[in-house]
Amino acid sequence: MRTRTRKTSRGWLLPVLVAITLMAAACGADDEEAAPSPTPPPPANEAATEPPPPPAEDPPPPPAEPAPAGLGSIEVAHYYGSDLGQQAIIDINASFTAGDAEISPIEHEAFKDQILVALAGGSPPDVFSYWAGARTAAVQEQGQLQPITAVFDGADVWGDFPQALVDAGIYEGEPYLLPFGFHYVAFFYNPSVMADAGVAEMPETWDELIAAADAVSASGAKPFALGSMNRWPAQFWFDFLMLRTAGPDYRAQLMSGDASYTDAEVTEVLELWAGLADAGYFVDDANAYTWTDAADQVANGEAAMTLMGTWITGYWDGNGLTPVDDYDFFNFPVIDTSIENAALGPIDGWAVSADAANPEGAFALLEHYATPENQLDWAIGQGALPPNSRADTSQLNPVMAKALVEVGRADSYSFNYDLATPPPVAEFGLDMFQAFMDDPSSYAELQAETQDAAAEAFAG
Amino acid sequence: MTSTTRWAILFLAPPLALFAGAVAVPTVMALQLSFTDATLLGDAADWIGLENFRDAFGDQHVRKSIRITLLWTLGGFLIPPALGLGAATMLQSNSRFAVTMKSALFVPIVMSLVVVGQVWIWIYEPGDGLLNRILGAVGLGGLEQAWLANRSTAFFAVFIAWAWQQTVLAMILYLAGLATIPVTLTEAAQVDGATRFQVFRQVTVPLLRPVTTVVLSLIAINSLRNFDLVYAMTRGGPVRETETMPILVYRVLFRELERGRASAISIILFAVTLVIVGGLTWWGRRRSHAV
Amino acid sequence: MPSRAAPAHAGTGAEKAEAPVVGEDRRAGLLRRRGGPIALVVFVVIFLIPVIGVLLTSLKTNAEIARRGIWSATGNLTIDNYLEVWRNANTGRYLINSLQVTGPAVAVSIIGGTLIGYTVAKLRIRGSAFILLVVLSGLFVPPQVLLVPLFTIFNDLNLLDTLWPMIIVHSAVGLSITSLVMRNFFDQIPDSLRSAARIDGANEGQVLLKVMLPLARPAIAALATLQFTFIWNDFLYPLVFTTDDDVRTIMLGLLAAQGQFTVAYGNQAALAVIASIPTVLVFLAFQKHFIRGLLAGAIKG
Repeated sequence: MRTRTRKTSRGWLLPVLVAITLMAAACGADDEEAAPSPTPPPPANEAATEPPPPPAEDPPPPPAEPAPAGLGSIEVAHYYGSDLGQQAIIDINASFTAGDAEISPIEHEAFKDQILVALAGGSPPDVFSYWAGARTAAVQEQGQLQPITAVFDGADVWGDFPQALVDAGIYEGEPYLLPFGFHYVAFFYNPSVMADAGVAEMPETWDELIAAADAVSASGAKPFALGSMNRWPAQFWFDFLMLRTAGPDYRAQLMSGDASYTDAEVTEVLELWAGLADAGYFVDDANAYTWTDAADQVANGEAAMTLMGTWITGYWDGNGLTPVDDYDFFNFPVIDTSIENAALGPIDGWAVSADAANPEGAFALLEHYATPENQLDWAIGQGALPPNSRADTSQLNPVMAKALVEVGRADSYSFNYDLATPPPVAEFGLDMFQAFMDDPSSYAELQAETQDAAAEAFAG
Repeated sequence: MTSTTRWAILFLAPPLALFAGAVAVPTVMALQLSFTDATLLGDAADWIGLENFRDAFGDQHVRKSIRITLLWTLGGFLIPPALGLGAATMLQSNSRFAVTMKSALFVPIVMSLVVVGQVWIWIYEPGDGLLNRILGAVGLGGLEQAWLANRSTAFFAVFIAWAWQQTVLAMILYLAGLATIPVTLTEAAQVDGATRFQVFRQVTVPLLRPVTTVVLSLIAINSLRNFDLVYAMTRGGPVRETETMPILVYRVLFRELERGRASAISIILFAVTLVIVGGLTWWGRRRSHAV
Repeated sequence: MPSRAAPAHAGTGAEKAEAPVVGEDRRAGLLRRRGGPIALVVFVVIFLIPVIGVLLTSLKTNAEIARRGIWSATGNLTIDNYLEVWRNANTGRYLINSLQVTGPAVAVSIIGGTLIGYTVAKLRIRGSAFILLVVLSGLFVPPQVLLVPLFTIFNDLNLLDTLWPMIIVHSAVGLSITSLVMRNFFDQIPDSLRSAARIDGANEGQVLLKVMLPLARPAIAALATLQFTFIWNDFLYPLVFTTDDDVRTIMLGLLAAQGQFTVAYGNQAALAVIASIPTVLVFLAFQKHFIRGLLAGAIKG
């Protein structure tokens, strides 16, 4: 066997490699087998590294405008899923002339993971949408964001945004998140179902809510739709029952680990909630449905009300419902008159990553996102409320305009549960809500379990 | 160095370099984190030795997830191979009819788990789902329920969707296995007075044992890696009732943001898989020698 | 490398899989009798209900689905969903991207697996067993933990938002299964074939290319099918390594369609069917080889 000369051995190397290359090439691209130690890639230019034929016809939604020199291109990632919302962002970006905003919409659930990998891996988009509160805090604490003081100064966020919204953008004393749209959680209802049940005045107190629920039950519909398959829609019940019984201060302690899930305050909340469930007020199998299913149940009259955020109006409008005629809302009723009227909801904002390749462009784009006109366009497109108080709110649909009034009347504004408590803790709390909907009578065990898990998560 | 060795090196170097770069190195990078308290977003991480492993074994959620994964694997060993062998026996013929049926039955295995998950969600839907409609139609309306939301049925519901696909895999392999059994052997047994069932049990099944080893190994790997379908159908819910180990790893990494702990759980999963597949291989060899 | 246990002795008499065909038909005939075919059809239909469900849904209008549910039998079938999905979404581009990822990755993983499998099974250099073990262990690593390290690597290489990360990762990850199957396959090919060729003056490269590769066709076909299906259907890597719509694959398109607010089941199902067509075609094309190739080592075939 050793008789083979080196020459012949080498002679056969070439054809083998050629064959490998050909086989790979035949399938549509060069092979990287021959160069497993990373081929030095051409410079950061995507066009150069992207494999051959880029199908020419119908380009994806993004930048319709020619890329002007100016501030160059800015990578933007967001999680807004609705067609109207996506279009609104495209339109808003199109009117941004100082640079070229390149957008990637990412499916809402997928976004949560993808952005974390991008941040951890050191290549985040320049600008990305994020949820104000504990989620932004978790990212900011790890040094993944850069302060956007320039934006707050340049767009006069300080003066034009209500204080509660300015505060939502501030972490460790500096602005990191530009509020873009905010929401208000309330009982959204189907007026004709309420009318059929003989409920003329919307409930303002707990007793009136129970009376209304009984009336709806008697009329054959379910009082409350809830779709807790993805867990978070159930949190609003916990949030509001706690805000209305124990108040925002106690709630803040619980959210930050200074109070316990086994406290009497939490027990009271779960007992009230269990009372509603035992009375059969909720649709059956809440855990089998999503929030849009619940919205459909209200829209088609199976259920009367659902406790949900104002984004539901965007969903309903998209399905051709008419505000006021087909849907309306009322504030979560007072339970204890000695406790302040707290509003609740998430705030969506924009953050600039610490590793942003184009921070100047990012700041300029954020200023563009802060203008009253763009905040209004976004609010209308997505079904959100505009944080910029100079936005012309007369153009909002009447239900949204009313929501804005309600928020203004509230004594305080709180984030919903999964934005109020750190993400690792929220994981366990959300499990608790889902388990509770499955078996409301098990709440004592759930409290103990959740407290154990939360204590551990807070400890780090 | 002999010429054979030189050739061996030449053959091995490119694929192994690729494997090292894209699998081995990242794996080692990830796994060394299991001895640290690394978080997903933070830079600093301290060496904490085996603490993540101690925590994991003390954690009821990890233990539950191991149980779910093992139960899943066990179910995978029992149901798809049995149904697959049954189907293969029925279809074992080259008539045009059987070939058409076979081709149709292959479809499930090429479907994406995203699609499989979606269609089974439709089947299990509480209101309009096919399963509830059928139960209602045959007078079993009392059994109607939200199969994926009910904590006591969710596991089985997702498992059945998965087993449906794996049955096809088993069937395909058994069809191949059956084709290699010489007819003379089974006919001889029948001439000797054995019933068809006896022939099946005492001649066919033992002869298929090597195929069974392959089937079980593939099913073990598929069930231990099971992520896509659970993600598509329940994301591990309701309340962690379908949280397989890969789903748990995903949750700890992306929701609880604990990279060190996620890596430690991955190593445990790795060990569990190794034991099961190693055991199977050993069983397969021992039995095939014993026959 | 210690020589592996003999692959099973199932083939006691018959050497070739084709041999029993005639007798097999006879036996099947005995089995079937009368109601056999009908029972079979019933079984197949029940088994295929989920597939039928997707197909039917894709042919119904969204209004019809909203009114009567997904599972209602319906008279009005339409291909509008297909037309709409094709026009609206970037379906064509997604499909091309998926092909551009799947084709090269299937080829590279199989070529690599053939090289490893052959070397381990036939050249048997020292350390073969260890090499195989390392490569096989890749099967057991949960892909989720690799995401962040891989992301970092591809970011350093400036390859994010191209198709390369998916091509490279799938080529590499696929080596585990391809090496295993090819090793099993080459294991059962008699050594005498190789020595004879060597005596005739062929070197190892020639032996592999001219003698072994033609024999390995069934195994390669099986792996091509398996890998194609696996890579085509993956959504985890593209989800994490791409943000640009231009480089997304069809599975991401499918996922995005499910995440939409406005639930259009008909369109979703149509997209699902379109996304499945390539894998079905590949499967049908390689069906015959698929089975024999995968079982290499377990049976003689």
